[in-house]
Amino acid sequence: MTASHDIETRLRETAEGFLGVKKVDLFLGYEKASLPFRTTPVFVTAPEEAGRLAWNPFCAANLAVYLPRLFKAPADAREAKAASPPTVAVVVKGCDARSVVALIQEHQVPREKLVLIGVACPGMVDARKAENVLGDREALGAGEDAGGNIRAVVEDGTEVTLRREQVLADACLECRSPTPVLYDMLLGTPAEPREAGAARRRIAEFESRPPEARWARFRQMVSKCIRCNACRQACPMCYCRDCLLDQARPRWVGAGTDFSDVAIFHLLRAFHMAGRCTECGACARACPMGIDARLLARKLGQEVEDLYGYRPGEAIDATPPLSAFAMDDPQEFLTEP
Amino acid sequence: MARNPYLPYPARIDETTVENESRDIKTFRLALEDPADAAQFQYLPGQFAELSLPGVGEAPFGIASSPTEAGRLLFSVKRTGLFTEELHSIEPGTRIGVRGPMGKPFPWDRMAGKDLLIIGGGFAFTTLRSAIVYILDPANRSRFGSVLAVYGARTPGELMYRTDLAAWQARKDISVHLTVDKADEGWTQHVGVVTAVLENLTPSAQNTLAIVCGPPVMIKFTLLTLAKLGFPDDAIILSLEMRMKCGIGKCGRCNIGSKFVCKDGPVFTREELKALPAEY
Amino acid sequence: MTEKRIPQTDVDRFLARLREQATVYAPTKDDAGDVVLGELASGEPVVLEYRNFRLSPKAFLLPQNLTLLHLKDGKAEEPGPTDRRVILFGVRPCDARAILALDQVFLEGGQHDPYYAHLRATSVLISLACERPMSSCFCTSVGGGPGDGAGADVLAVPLDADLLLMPQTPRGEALLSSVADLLQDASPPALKEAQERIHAAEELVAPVKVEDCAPRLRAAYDSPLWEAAGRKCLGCGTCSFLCPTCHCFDITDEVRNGTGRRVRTWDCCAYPLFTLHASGHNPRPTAKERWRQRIMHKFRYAVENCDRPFCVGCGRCIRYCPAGMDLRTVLKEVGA
Repeated sequence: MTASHDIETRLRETAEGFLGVKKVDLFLGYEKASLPFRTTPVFVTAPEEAGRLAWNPFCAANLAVYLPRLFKAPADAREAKAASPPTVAVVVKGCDARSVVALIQEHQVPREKLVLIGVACPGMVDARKAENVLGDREALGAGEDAGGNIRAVVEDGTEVTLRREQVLADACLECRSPTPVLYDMLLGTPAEPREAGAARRRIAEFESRPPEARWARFRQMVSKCIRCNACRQACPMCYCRDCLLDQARPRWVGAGTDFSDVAIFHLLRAFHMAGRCTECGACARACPMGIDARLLARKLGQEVEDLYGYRPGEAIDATPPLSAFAMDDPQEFLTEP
Repeated sequence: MARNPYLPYPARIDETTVENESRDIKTFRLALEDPADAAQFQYLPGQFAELSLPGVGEAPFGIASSPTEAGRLLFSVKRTGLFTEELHSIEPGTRIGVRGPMGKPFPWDRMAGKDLLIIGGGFAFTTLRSAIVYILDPANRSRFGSVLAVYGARTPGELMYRTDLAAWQARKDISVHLTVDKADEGWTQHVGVVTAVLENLTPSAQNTLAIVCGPPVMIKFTLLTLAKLGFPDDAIILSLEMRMKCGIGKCGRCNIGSKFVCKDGPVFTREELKALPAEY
Repeated sequence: MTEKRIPQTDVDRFLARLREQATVYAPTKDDAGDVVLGELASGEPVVLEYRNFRLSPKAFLLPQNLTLLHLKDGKAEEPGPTDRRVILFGVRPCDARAILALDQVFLEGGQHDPYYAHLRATSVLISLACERPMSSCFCTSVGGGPGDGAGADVLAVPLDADLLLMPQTPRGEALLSSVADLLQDASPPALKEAQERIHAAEELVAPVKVEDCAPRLRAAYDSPLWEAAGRKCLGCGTCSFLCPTCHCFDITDEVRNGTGRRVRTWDCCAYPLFTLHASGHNPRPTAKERWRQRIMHKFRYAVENCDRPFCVGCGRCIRYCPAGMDLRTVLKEVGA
């Protein structure tokens, strides 16, 4: 698709320019990975490496996750003497930009040290969905055709076309913010958000089941969990140095796969995402066991939206509702649970 | 069938002694409950054991007693984290588990026939106490040459094992020099860092092995001084600390390069350490 | 040892007979349609067409969580002996070979791990040779291959209509004897066909530059590539948890009102807290040092200590890494 190619060219030119005049120390984007349907983050520091940057339907990762560690407060006096924080350009899609906004609001990254290269996003491919469609055939290469669909080359050399809608990530199928809300420059044509009710319908369908059925489904979902913590590590909003769920004193949750420990891990993480999750899907994408880690966070995000009219990361000067209170805040869940 | 290495020997804390003025170091005297276990627990100075508090966890500690002190199993523990905080708060008579002995001890075979220079700093003196008591035991003393020990702490109140230190200073078969960074009223001995004392004493490197245990900064400067005094790398013996869990080389946590501090150490010569990556 | 064969249409019957001796785990489809090494229920058909399982079979010998000790009122007790007999069918040759690496860690080196030893002694492995390696596979570069029998008790090789069964150990031979009435001897043409098929599969595995990895890595300890590659790492644990040779573990106590257990759980050197000291000092403070440790452990320290890389080329870490990290790139760049 020429649009992707144009964006890719613009990204490379921008990176080369910014790095050449030292407007930024680091240009964080995507580059080709060694397997199809994927890209890998690239930390470009030299203008001559700008050609590594790529833009295609496989740029699914949320690069905001790398930002807090670039701006970590020094641990001790020796570290404080180290170089001052870098100026970082980072490629952000709609969901990624919301994560950056949320991180700025939570004082994890300084706005003035960021150059946000916004890209209006048409939705990204979920590698696992694409591989499932191909079934037993392994893709050796994949790209985008003129119609925006995915063309994969499989082992015997045949080309298979995958309709984009068929292999878009679940998060992208429900996306309401494809165009970044905060940016220093914007590439790509602003895209239409997905129909607002899509995600709500999914939640409503789940909630329509009787409690035992919901619990059984939840149990079945998390029973595959191997407690690798990939969902947490991939999430840009999980930046705590000492996660509650790792804490040894007191040990709130064990480290094994006992159902009660697994359930508490997922439930607590979901609660910590309430009003903070920007629905990027990094958690579900990272999970090696294919657990839909978004489900609970989506539900809680919806509750915050309904109660406080707030969607995280949409407006940089908004005050996250769980960080403040007003005397007339809705609180029936306390008084009439 | 070999004993399960994850199963601690049941033991009891018989006595706790506060070692220092700031009260964050305590020495625990343990007794293994089963005499058969006590007979199995054969160790040499330099080794460590994992102390186990069910419900809290485990942590590794150098053994502070010498095997020549029959019936006395001592561990000195500094209150630093979760486990040590818990340990510091328990009363004598409480049950505790011990797994060990673990690790390689000081190289006693190599040390035989040599003059010994023992250098310790702060809290790291624990296994050095074990070594000195072992050396001074009548059954062992004649195996070694002259013994010079230099031990430094921040203040006189922070020196550990003060009763032992006084007894050693009264002996003729060991020379013990104590030094502090900051003296108090009544302190009549050296003031200054351990390396300053060493440079004054200029011990000979001839047929001598140096054992160094202390905080990283002290070790760094002591190594420079020892180099100046002509000690080759394989004559300098160090004991390292690392975060450990299993203590038996299986959990993968304590490696420095291809060596596990629990199994291949914690005692290493400077020469061995130089061959390893500086990741500790 | 005598090679045997069985028609592929009889494999379900073969497994049903094995179910009389032990709990049989074989390739089956789970509710999401993925092929997993699951407990074979009565009458459940086995799946023979698959690449590899997401989770490696190490979970059978080194479970994600294992009770080391029961804790009660300050005392620690070993768990009682369990009667267990397990047959794993359909393990890929890479995963079987990985078990030999785990054996070196847990059974050798001075201290014998009784928990691993028990699970190992009570598991019989029938591996299934690969016909269709993936682009992420590189078993042939790390001493293995799609038809390698190392680590297995029986190596099964799919032929045109039959399954060739090649015992690799006395235990494998005994297993085959116990169902001898279902099996026929393998003819020389069958053996030849197996060799040809295996050779054809080997040709499909792309080579990776693993030669001299230990000295090359030794020389590259301070290379800038660790920072450049390592900074992408999320510390998510996926690679270690899916890796068939990764064995690092944590030990924690879970106790409530004086009763509970000491449990061993999988851990990962890429986690930021892995080497954090109580004092706050961390010898591996950033992703760079942790990525370097991972590669060094697998391709240098293991080679120096155990004479084998702790990698069997299964490719899971490459396929499942959410950051798209690929250790083959490192192996190519190091010492280049």
